[in-house]
Amino acid sequence: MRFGARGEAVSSFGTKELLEGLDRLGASRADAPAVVALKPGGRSDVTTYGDLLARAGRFARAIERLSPDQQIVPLFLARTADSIAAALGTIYAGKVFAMLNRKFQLPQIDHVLQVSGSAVLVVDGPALLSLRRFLGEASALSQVQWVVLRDPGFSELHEKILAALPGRLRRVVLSLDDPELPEVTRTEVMGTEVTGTEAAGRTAGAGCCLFTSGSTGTPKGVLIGAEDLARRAEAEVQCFRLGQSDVLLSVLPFAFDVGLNQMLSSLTAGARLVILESWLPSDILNATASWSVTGISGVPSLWRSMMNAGLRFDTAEQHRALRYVTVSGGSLSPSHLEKLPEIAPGVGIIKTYGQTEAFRATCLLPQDFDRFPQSVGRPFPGVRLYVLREDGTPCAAGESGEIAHAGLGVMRGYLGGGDAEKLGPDPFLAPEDPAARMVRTGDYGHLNEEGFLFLEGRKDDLLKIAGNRVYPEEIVRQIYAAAEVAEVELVAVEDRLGETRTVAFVVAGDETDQTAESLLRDLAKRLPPYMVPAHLELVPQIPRTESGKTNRPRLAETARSLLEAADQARTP
Amino acid sequence: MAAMHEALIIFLTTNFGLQHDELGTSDPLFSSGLLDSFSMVQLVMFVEGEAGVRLNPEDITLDNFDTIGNILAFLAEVAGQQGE
Repeated sequence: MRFGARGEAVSSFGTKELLEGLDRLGASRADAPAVVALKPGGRSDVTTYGDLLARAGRFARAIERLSPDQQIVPLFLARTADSIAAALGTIYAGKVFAMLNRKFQLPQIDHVLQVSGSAVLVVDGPALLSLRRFLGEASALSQVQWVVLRDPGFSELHEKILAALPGRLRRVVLSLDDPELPEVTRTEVMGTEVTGTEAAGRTAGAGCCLFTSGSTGTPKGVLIGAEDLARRAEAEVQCFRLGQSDVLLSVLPFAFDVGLNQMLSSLTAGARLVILESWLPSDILNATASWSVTGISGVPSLWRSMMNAGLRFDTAEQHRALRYVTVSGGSLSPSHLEKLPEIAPGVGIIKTYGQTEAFRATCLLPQDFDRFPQSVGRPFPGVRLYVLREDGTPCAAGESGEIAHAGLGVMRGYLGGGDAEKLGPDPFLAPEDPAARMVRTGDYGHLNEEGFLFLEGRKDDLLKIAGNRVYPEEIVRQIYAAAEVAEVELVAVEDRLGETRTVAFVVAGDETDQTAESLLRDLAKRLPPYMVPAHLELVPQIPRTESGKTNRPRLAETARSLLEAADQARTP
Repeated sequence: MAAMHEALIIFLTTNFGLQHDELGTSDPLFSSGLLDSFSMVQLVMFVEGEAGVRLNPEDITLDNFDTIGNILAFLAEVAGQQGE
């Protein structure tokens, strides 16, 4: 069964249109707020469309000069107006921005810099704070030039750290409101062909590279076409009916496809993006009230924490502007799905499903939520969605198979290759058709008679922890790297609040004098916080089944009781 | 509160690898980028356990937890309310 046809309801909207559209907004809405960054103590920084695009132009000019030959520009930045300007500016310069996960530690950053062959790393104040811990160790951090953005949030503490950076480190400080920095004119770079550089083969036509957890144990760079990026934003504008009067609350990282797409959609629609650096339910409620927020893109754990805290939107009064919330990047349990409308009475619930490699596959609109709350909806315009049997033939309605995605949202490939299993030809189109590329998602599911998709699980071990995708192999690899240990097994269990948590069972080697605590502390320096196991247990041996395999059910049982004991010890 | 102050510094240095020069009473923990929102949950759990109180979800805001000074002032306020 397949749904959606190539070109269906999709205009020929591409990078050129995105840039021209932004230019028009820059002119017609020059004084309208594009980004509002919320600060502690109720303060906020407002950036207008005119200012944002001028900053993007200045960044473009600077990055052309600083990184003339390298295509990929890694941005290690917090969610700010300047990080948006840097991303847009990189596209203006005809290059590929790589928005890095702010929680990356040294092993991930080092890997990114090496595979991207980048000449620079763009950082801000918060990034200086996290990176300075790694300067004692040999890594690619000391090979690249640091481009330090002195943005409006650059504090005295950040200045102090900047001044104390080792002298051998090459750095340049950039202030995007510096009028001395000439703006690149956008028409100048529009349509520039990427040629001549070594990396150009793979990155040609790409606009963005997002690094996500990989099954091989290191992050993979997913290359997304500049044109596709623009069309993804346009598809969201259409489906969510976004317009200039919308005020969207941004809580998800720009390094995460859902957060990035929300930001680009907001700009495409000429709406206002309100940036909040907190996932706390009461901060979300306060920001929604103060700024008359109309839409929030969220992940399951965010809504779960609001439900578990017993808080809700007051849609009759304080939060009456709120029009929709999304549940993206994971699923809620049936009981949480049932309760979700209660915390936001009258607000449309939009569920989206996709992967970084095959972004925005399906969308369940509010009018269908009541009928099929467990479904993730129907394909976005321009997406061709297939459910396939093992022999590659399409499943009938109601029959389960692997979900495959073609058309809008398909990645160009992984940076450095290794995508042969994931990305292949679309067997339902003529092989010579340039659009005949299909991503195998590794997700199982089925379509019902009306074409609504229902998910049923994964082919591999991919976990979703607080909205982040995590391959256990990436955690296990860092445990082996942290100490001389003999064996590591990692199990994931769901706690009583519905969150996925991991427990590591480690058989210590004879050589190590590490304790569980010291190992966890080491891991915290090697892994983003959401990847650090909730508990680490040193065990004399791993339990086996009769056939000698790891007894995973037994480990999962032990993991559950260990987590419960730890939770009880903490509860006041 | 002096004991709480010290306990917070020990917790932040051992669990999040923060350094003493970053932990002045009015240095921002979250808005500076020192800690991320994921660490907030752990910090809130620690503060609840250490102070032996259950905090009202409505009061758990970034502003109340952004600096060591804010946390101490907030706890003093909570203690005052519960004492009445």
